[in-house]
Amino acid sequence: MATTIQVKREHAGDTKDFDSLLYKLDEEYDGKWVAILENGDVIADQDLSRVHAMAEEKSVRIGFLFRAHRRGQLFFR
Amino acid sequence: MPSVEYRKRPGSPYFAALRIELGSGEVLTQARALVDTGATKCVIPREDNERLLHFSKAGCDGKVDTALGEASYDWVVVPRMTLMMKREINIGPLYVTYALEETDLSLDNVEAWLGDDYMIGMNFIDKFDVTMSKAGIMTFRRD
Repeated sequence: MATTIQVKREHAGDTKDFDSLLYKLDEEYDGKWVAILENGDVIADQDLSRVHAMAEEKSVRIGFLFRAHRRGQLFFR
Repeated sequence: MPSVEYRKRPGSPYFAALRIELGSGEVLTQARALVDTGATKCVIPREDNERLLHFSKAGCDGKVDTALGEASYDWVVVPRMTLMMKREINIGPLYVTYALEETDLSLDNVEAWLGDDYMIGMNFIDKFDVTMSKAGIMTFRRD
């Protein structure tokens, strides 16, 4: 079963594929939890529970969730 | 032979697109997971388990070596974890739409620590043929 992830153009910019989108959001939200909501919005916060709370406030489900990759060397997350 | 590829940027770790679902096929969440060959078990965020997944604690591993020293982690059993294939399907003026397609690369009843992030550990990786290329492509295959 396939699911679709829809992202508003203002968040997607000129990215051409899903990997590029995630890299763009990595840069934008360095280290934060990022949720792509089913309505195409993107929300982010350092605290994952705040991300869930924001999605609940908007009454929108999370379509895809990830922690933005921190810049620089990575030894332990 | 079913397979899925994940590409990474230079200097970045490998990430996979992961779907967590019940045995019935009900999708609970979709997330990007760090592929961590240094982790014995998979990891799911504690907050997600409390707010969304609601898997019961199945046990506690008391002596887990981490980069910051020894720690203990509760673990749960995830009914099904499936690797997803990412495809872009439509670039429109207002929205860009992508498809996450299910692959045959899934495992049932995967033990996962409750931690700070989504990670795919060796108890998942070991069940597949996994290769990495210097071009930055990781491939998961199942015979």
